[in-house]
Amino acid sequence: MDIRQLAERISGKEKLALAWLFLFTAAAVIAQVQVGQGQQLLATPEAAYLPPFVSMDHPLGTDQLGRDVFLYLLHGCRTSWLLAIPPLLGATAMGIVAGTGAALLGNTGLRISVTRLLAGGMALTVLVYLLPVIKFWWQDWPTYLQIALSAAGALVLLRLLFSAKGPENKKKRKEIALPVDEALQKLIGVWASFPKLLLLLLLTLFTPFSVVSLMVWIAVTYWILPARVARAMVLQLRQEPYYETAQALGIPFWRTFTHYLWPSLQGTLLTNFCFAASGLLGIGSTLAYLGIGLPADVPSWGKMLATARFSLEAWWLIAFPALFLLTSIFSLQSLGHFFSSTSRSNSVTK
Amino acid sequence: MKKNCAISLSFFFIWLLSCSSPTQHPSIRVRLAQDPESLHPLSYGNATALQLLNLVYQSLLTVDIKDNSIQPLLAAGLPTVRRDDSSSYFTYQIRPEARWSNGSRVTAADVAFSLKLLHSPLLDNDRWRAQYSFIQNIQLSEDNPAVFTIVCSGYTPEMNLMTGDFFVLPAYQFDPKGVLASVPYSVIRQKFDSLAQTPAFKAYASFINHPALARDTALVKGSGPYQLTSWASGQALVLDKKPGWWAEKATTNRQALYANPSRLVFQVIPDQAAAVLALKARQVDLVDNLPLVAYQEMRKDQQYQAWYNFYSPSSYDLVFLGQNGRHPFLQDKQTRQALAYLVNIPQVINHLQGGLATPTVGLVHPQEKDYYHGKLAPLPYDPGKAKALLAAAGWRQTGSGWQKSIHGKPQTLALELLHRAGNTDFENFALLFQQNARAIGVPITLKAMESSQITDRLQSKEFDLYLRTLVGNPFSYNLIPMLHTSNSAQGGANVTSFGTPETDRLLEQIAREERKAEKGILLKQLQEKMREESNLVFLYFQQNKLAISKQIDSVVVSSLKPGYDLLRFTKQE
Amino acid sequence: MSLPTWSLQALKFLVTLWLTISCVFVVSRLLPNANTPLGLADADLAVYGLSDAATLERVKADYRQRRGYHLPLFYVGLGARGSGLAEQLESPGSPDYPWAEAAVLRHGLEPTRQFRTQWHAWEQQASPEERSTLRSRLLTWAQAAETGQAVASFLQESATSASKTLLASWNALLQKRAPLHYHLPVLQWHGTDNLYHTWLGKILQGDLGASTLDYQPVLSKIGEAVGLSAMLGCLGLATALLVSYLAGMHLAQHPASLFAAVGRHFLYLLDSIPAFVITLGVFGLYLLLGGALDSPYLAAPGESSPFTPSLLLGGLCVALFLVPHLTLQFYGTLVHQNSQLYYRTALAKGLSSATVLRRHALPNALIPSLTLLSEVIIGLISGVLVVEVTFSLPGLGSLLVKSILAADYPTVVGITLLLLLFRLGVTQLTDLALALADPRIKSV
Repeated sequence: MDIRQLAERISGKEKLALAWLFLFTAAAVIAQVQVGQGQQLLATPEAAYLPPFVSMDHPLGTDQLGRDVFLYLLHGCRTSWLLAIPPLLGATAMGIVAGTGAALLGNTGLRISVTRLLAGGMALTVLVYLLPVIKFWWQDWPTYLQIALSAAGALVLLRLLFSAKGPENKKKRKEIALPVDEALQKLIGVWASFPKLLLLLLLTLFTPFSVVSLMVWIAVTYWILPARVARAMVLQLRQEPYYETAQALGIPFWRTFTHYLWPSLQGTLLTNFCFAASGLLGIGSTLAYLGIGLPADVPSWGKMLATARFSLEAWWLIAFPALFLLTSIFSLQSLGHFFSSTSRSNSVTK
Repeated sequence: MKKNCAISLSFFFIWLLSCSSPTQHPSIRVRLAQDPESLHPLSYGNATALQLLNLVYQSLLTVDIKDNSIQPLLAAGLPTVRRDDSSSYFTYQIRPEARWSNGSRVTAADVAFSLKLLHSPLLDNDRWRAQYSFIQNIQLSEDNPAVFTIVCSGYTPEMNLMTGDFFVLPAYQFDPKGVLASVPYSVIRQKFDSLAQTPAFKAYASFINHPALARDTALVKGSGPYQLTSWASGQALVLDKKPGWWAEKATTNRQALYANPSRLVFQVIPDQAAAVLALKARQVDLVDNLPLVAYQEMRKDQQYQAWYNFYSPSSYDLVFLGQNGRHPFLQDKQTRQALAYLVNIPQVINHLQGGLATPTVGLVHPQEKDYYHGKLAPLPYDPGKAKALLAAAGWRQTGSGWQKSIHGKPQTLALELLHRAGNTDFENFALLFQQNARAIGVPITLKAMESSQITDRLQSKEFDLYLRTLVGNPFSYNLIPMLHTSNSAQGGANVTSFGTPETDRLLEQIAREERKAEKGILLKQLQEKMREESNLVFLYFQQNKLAISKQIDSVVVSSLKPGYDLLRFTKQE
Repeated sequence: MSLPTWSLQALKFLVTLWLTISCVFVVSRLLPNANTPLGLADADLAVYGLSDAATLERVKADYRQRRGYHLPLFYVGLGARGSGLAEQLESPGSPDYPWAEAAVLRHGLEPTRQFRTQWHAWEQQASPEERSTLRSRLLTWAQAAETGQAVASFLQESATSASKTLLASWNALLQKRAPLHYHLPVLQWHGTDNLYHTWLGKILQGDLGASTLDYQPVLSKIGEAVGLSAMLGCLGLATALLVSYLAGMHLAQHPASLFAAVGRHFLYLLDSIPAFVITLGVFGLYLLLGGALDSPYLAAPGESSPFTPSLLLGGLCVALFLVPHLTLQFYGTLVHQNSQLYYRTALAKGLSSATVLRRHALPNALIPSLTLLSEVIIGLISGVLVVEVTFSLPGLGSLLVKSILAADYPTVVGITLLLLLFRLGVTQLTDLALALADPRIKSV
């Protein structure tokens, strides 16, 4: 499906949703620029709890610390955006790679020669063994040199493991198959049986929270569904005649992926993306309610809601963040439903 | 059909809910913020448990929280003290009326048993062994089973309370086989390790470390006025007054012997918002530590004014900002002083605490007039002064922040502030502090952590700044464990590495001094010194925010934990 | 399934189980307060009854000894060679050990030994104050990896001859550099006398241990929580299933009606409201309508009903969380069937649309819904945490949170085991149900 086709099918509701999400992203960008310039929300406790529509300086009023609610919500857009979009993109990418890989390679598809596996393993062990020495040795060197050296080392190691041609290539080699599919299934099985919220709690006991650690957490928690979806769909697709034809014609993998697999995958994954993003927007507030969450200097809608829950007197501290939160979630969900219906009517494997 | 289904379903829910409709009962219902988890008198884990245990078990002495005076509880009177060079002797007599719940007398043997329990091997009594390590022996009188003497190493004034501040437990219930009765106290302390190997003590440990002692209604019973009637874990506890409690027949020193409510119901409501809802629906008679917003809102409201009385007694919970004196950036006291000038206490109290906090210059509560250094001016918020102090400490302000060469390496001043996650007060304070520091060019990173994680970082000295609450009290000024340099070692409570030889001497004098005037002078000197060192920047004493039903008469609220005296309450029918 | 494949499956599952709970055990032993006795975790937080550092350390050491926590965690451990060498100078528990370790790792064993001898000789003549100052500066040097200026300047200031010798020795120490191989990790074999071995032995005997908080056996402790969670979950789930089924069918039958459109939007909206707003809303509404909190003292013993108000309200909230998602998905799959050939055929045969929906579309729509349902059931445990917190219901979620925070590792391990088994049960049941519903699907 191309854009034009999509645009024709789009209805008023979805347009509104898209417009809102566009505004949301724009707000996030503005807030990011402000943060980049070192501008922060100014707390003036003397001006706390100013109702909305009273002062021109604070059109939406102020919160318990006298911060401008409008600006706070704007910065909240940035937090929500950062916590929803990049980690989910990462998670989806991870899921596609893992799911497609597992489906295509199966339990016998990935073979690696025993010698090379052993060599790689040895190299890694030696490296790990020498790590403390290396660290001590270069502790006085500048950081960028350290990073460059580590990157170079990692590249060499990968090259050793996966290069197409190795010295032992000519000999008759022993190979073992890596059970990629089964490994993924096991991993998913174990990973999914832990309640996510509790994993997060465990994480907070070891490292303090920051936006980055939460982003990483979300990415490593949310890759499961895309991986499952991708695996299931690719398993189905590889039975299709056109895929077999593509294989027989010797079309390179990347092209096969973009032209034969991706069009069928994208609808479902987009749907999943929208629903997951809408769920993530809500999760921030639940975390704040349970008392776990972001550092105090990171504004978030959910935190404002959870902090204001004790009293309805300062209604604007509940109404405005709730409005932002609900509209965003609602937009994402209606887009999700839209994608799911289009993908269904569009899918090659209807 | 569908409609029928839906209707019958909703009726089902409504019927079930209405089945459990309330009827009024004259019991007093108190909100607890957490479940006590365990009511084991040795190994209980939280303050809630202590609050409930105090209703079931008794100690020799108690503190009447109405006037913060020490009163005899199981003891007939305050102890008589005798001192010699290295030891002190506290002689107590137990009230002749004192009875266990099976009707037998409370004797000196029970006290000896309880002390032995605190020091026995293989039991979870670690904190008591640490706290009462000063008790060397207990001598029972040969002619009076109610008289005994506690021998302590050295003498400090707070021993007057501490020698009588452990739960006296019924030996017949906690040691039916008499395992501990056969071993003298001094032997238990000296042969701690070898006794741990004996089968008798191993069997005894598995008897004491039993869940039944922690929650069984038949076993959670002592000499106190109440007994546990029911405990729905995580939901509610009911304590009933024992019929014919012994103290009603007591004749002398009755000030601390009272227990008015016939039944106490403790509702466990962990969430603050849910607690506020329950209070507004009159489902509980007493809620403490209300969120400020809810407290202020209800206090203004006519209807809630008709239902509740509102109190905000000052507590001994002291909020402070700690600075790691061992950190290379903060080793210079001028740097620490500079940071202390970045705190805007009046702003914090007036706007974040709604005026419900007591500012302080030191760790003595301002209401302790004799000891509080009233002449020491509160630290103003003064960025200019902070900058000057930073410059005096050798920092140079540059485009990228404050820089200084420390031991040959150029360093930029940037600090990390730890505080407990989920505590709104700390979050707000940290934000304002960060903003003030940013204004003069000191970047501060805020880190919200779980309490255990903060403790870990403090113990390993891997921190810059932290926010915490310190629970003070009006009786004990033995600050050596917290502030002496010898206790800044591994595992000690002096985590900020506070102290100079001079303050060490001061602390030792304060711990020994009994005369009020002299102690006051010493404590004031200490407050000055602490201000100068600024390892601990004291912010304010919190005020508790309570709502208590108007049905309850003779309400006593207090600065001391738990903040109200439940036993004095009477409820109108 | 034949016996060999079955036993292979079972074996694989057992291996997964073992790996997972081993990881959970090791992780929970590494929690910040795993080695501190009850009540001593926040020893710096109260003035009254505080003890000095030496007593606290002694008591904590006793505690570790008693609980066996002083043993190594696992069969093998890794340590730098230099740290092992430093143990020749100071025993690992001693307060000077951090200094000795840092000095050996940075500047080698021999110079450290020489300086240490000098230092102890110097201490003979120094005042207590000087001793403690030097010790604290040395420890700071060990921690902060600085150049040692602070120690040198302190020794320069006190101009005694002993200080001069010590200063020379200090400078000599700083001159030397430790050989690189001091930093090589050395594998230490701890033997079977380790925490993990003991724990695993007990687990294999079926002994999950007792909670470290209240001595309650883990099984009974978890049992109570499971009972409550199960009631809560079943109540919510049953209600949600019934409502979703009715609502989904209704929406599919009258897709164009105003009620259906409003209903759909309402469900979208409900789906977007954060969980805690729903729970607090329900709670507030209930109290507003005159409802009472649980009152255990009113029920006569024996006739107390398990359906307390908070449980019912909790069930209602769980249902409210689930209904939108379930209904919309169910509705979606039903609508999807509309476009299938068999559906049109059935309509063409002259069956009423309601009959077609029930007889033909429903079984087909049930299959994806079943998979979804299994996910929902597995996810239920964490989903009800908010409900448990609001209505003070001591279920599995809050128990796990509490145990993690208190580092009560037997309980954490027990709950993990339970969750894994629960998940296995649910997936197996789903497979079975799928096979029953659709003979085409064979378990792969």
